[in-house]
Amino acid sequence: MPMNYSQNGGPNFIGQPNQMPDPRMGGYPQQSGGQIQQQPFMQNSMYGRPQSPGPATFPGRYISDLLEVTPNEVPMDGQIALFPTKDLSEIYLKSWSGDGRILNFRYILDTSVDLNAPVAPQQEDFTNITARLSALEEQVKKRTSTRGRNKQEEEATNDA
Amino acid sequence: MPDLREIAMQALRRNPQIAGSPQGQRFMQILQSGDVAAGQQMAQNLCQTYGVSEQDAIKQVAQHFNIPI
Repeated sequence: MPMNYSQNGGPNFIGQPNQMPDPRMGGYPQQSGGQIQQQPFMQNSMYGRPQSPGPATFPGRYISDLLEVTPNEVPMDGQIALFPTKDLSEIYLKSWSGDGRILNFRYILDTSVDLNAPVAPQQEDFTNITARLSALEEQVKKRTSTRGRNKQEEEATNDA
Repeated sequence: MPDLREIAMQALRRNPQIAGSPQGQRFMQILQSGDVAAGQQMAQNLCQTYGVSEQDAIKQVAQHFNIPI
């Protein structure tokens, strides 16, 4: 039986951390002193109102170091928990495996591409467009001068 | 002496959140199959994950279920 060796004394049945952070809010709730409140698992079915489905959220919080994270902070229902570092350079993903261990994955910020930089127009596109315009201009000039010469020859013939 | 296996299975069934988790399902498999080695391995992994010794874990379980050891 998986047990939570809580700081309160004896073991308790593991519940799910009751703080479900909303990533849209840009942050995760801070947990004071590492304490995690546990909800009786029957609470929602007996007293709770039916909840409308909301956006998906993941448990977790900002951390300074991976060692801060305790096993209690990773939900036992198989959900992943996300722990971004405060400088957002790394995100740690934790999830219980089926054999009693917590799987850890580390995601690192890719700084090779600046996704926030304004997109500069491609210089080679302008070069290509300019070349095509020049070619069109040449053709128009040729046709105009050819048409002008033909008109002059026609007038000369008529005069004669 | 209470049947610990039955107690554990009942407790798992009463807690659907854990019963539906990968760990809970694996635990149910172990209980149903009676695979002692797999159960021991899982217990060791849990102790290691929580940072408790096996003796302390056994004491706490026994205390919780009021089982004399």
